Amino acid sequence: MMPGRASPRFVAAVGLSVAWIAFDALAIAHGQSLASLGLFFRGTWGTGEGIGAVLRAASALLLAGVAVHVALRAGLFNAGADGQIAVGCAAASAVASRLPPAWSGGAVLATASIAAAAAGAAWAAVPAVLRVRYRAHEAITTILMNRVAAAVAMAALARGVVAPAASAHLAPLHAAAAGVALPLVAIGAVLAVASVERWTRIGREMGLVGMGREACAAERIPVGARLLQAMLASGAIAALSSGVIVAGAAGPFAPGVEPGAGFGGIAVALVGGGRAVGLVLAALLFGTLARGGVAMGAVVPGAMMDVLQAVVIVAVAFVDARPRGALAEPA
Amino acid sequence: MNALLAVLSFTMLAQVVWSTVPYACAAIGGAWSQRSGVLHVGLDGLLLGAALAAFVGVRATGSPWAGAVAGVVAASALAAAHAALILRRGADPIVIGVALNLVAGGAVHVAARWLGGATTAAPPAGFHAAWLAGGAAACAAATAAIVHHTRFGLRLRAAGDDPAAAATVGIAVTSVRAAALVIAGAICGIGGVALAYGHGRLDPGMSGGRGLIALAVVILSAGRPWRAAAACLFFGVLDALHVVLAARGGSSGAAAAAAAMLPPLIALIAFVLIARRAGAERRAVELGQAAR
Repeated sequence: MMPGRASPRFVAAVGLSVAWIAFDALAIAHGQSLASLGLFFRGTWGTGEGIGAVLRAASALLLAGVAVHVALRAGLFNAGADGQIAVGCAAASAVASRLPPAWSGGAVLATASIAAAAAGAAWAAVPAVLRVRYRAHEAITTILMNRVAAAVAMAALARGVVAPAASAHLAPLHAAAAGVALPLVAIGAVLAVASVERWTRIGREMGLVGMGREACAAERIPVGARLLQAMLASGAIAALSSGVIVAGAAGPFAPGVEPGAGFGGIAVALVGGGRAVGLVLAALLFGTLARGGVAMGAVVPGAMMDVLQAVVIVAVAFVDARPRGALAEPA
Repeated sequence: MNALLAVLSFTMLAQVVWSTVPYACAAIGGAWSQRSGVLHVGLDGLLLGAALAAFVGVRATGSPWAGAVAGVVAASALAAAHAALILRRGADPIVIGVALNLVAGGAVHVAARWLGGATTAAPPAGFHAAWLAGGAAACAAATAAIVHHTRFGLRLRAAGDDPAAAATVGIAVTSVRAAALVIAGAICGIGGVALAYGHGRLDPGMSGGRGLIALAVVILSAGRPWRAAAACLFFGVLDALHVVLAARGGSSGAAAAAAAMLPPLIALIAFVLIARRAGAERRAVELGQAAR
């Protein structure tokens, strides 16, 4: 989790190439000949529709990746982006479907995004408080919260709290949101996070807390507050994508609108190596592979992406390992 | 009244055993790992890997025992790979644990398609839940005995409590941890076999986060195998209640959702309660630092 000995560029290069090779291997294992890579190309960067789909998938992954990165930089492992996205979707959908029809698309989008971010931050607050006050490891509690989130979203859908289908007045926003808003929000989040990390005191202190909590405490940096803030920001950023998705492209609410985006975010954050450019490149690659897998009609694209992400995560963790003999701390 | 009868039936008892064994085995395995000083986030992956291997084993040979052996071997092999990555190479244990869960989940998903969806052989004829339960209990007893009453157990606890001090007195911390992780894998394998035979069908959500709940239980029980297993019995009963009552019908989506969120919620609350009781003094120090 801490910065290892390999350079971020090397890590990113290894991660990206392993992802590509593993994707080809998986595609061939599924009986897809290399010739069908043409199909892959047409489904991704070959057509306007494909580019839109890739950008949408990549943006959701990028937001999840930035979210994981923000926590990781402060030394926290947010494995709960999936849950934060799920409650974000539920909140965005509940709010968006109750807005007056006269509202413009942009206003609906902004309101839904704020609702989603607030829900995501609230969801992340539980593991954050458990970590800071009760020393419960966030890797465990965030995944536990994922399961609760899935159940909450299911219950909200069953009870009708959340609109099962998009309201009619959201329709004009579809194309705009899919094509423009989500990538803009994602890039905006990357830039905002990068500048907060670079130019503000809070941002710099979060990074320092990630490097050494004891030293920071000795220097009178409010460690607990910084950890809380990092986790809340992480949850809000993760859920941000769902606001845009619900208000725009996907419309109807379904738990897990971008399935697996949460764990994809871990892969993106690890491959991105904590640099803005790295995060964007990694998100584009994983987004391309996800859409390409769908376009090639692979038998099980969802599961393939899980395996692919896991392979990349292992490869990056392998390259970025701390020197041998480092002793892991017990929980 | 009928619901009460269903709950008090033999079916319920059998269901409790099938539900508890995966929890308990994951927890006992997790106790080995925890005591050696490795936070094991990949217990779900071990359960799934073993379940998949058990399915393939039963499919290939037709013998539930061959399936059980395949499950235990597969989980041990996965655990060995996990140990090599985090101990030899020094990769981050949490990252690798999450990846292990993703790999096993994806593999189950892919295999479920290849093997033609529902590959029901379970619970296989002539194979009783009681045997797996007995295996789990034996593992708990053996774990308690080995960890507390043998030289290896002492080294294990030393490696977990203070690795630097243990290394100073000549304990090969890495080897002890590797051994603990592989043993943990084998025990999780029994749980995975129970998962496969109890569930009866291959599906990536079949572990249902049991490994993670088990890990929470391990941490909350401070790595004591009997306590952990007893807590798992509680979660097993909860699961079984859900299964038995859902099978009777009349369970709405909201009720199913409520039942699904109960185990993780209870685990989350337990973190707070136990930390409150145990670490008041330590927490005061933390808060003092945070407030400054």
